[in-house]
Amino acid sequence: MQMSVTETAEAAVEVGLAGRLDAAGVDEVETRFNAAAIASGRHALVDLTAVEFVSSMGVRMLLTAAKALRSRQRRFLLVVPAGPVREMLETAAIDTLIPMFQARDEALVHLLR
Amino acid sequence: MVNEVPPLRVRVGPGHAALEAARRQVVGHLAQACERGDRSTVYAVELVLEEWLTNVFRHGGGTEVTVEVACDGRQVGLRFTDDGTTFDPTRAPERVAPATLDEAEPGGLGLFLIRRYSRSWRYAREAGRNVMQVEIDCPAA
Repeated sequence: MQMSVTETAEAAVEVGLAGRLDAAGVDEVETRFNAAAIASGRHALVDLTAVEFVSSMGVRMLLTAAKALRSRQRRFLLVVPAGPVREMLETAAIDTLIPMFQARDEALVHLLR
Repeated sequence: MVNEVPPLRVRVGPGHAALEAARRQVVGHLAQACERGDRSTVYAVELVLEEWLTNVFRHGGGTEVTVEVACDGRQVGLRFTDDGTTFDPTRAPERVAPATLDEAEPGGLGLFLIRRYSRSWRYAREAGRNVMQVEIDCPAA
């Protein structure tokens, strides 16, 4: 599981994940992910474009971060292109809880407006 | 359970490395035995595998799961036999989708996903073991 962090704008941080967000991937990345997405105190845009698989453990990690940011009046957005990962998140109705965008540019416009 | 292709049989213990090794064996088997299995089929199989094994090892007190995989071209059949405590997932309460982020409780999603990604699932307690069988559709020709 790989992770990159970019300071997108003064008020936002962009976290890119790559690989498999399963139980092993979550164990590997969760502490760093929370530090980047939650502890920064900014809005977070999380890009799952390079993530090939998400399980319920991955959903738990994303939901936990989204809830933490919401309690701090910060926004949490996902970039998830069409494919099995997006289908899984829609099956789990995560798209009704966390704003999901097909492309990074689309999410940035929403975040920075 | 579909029987036309001799099933792959894998024994899995707890731990990420064991689960990953099993996943690779199962995906390799599908590539050979399941001509119509596309990326969505493989995703569904991987998801059911991960969710059930994680459930057995983290919550069911299991120490070993035998996974059998077969494909007849139309469906993938998965059969899990574990030594954990008695647990019938088909009788577990249905997850109620949260309406808001505030209501959302992280967790409890695994069984819901198995149910949604399977054409059918059956459970039996046999000789002191949990036996869970799942069938997953391949795409229509």
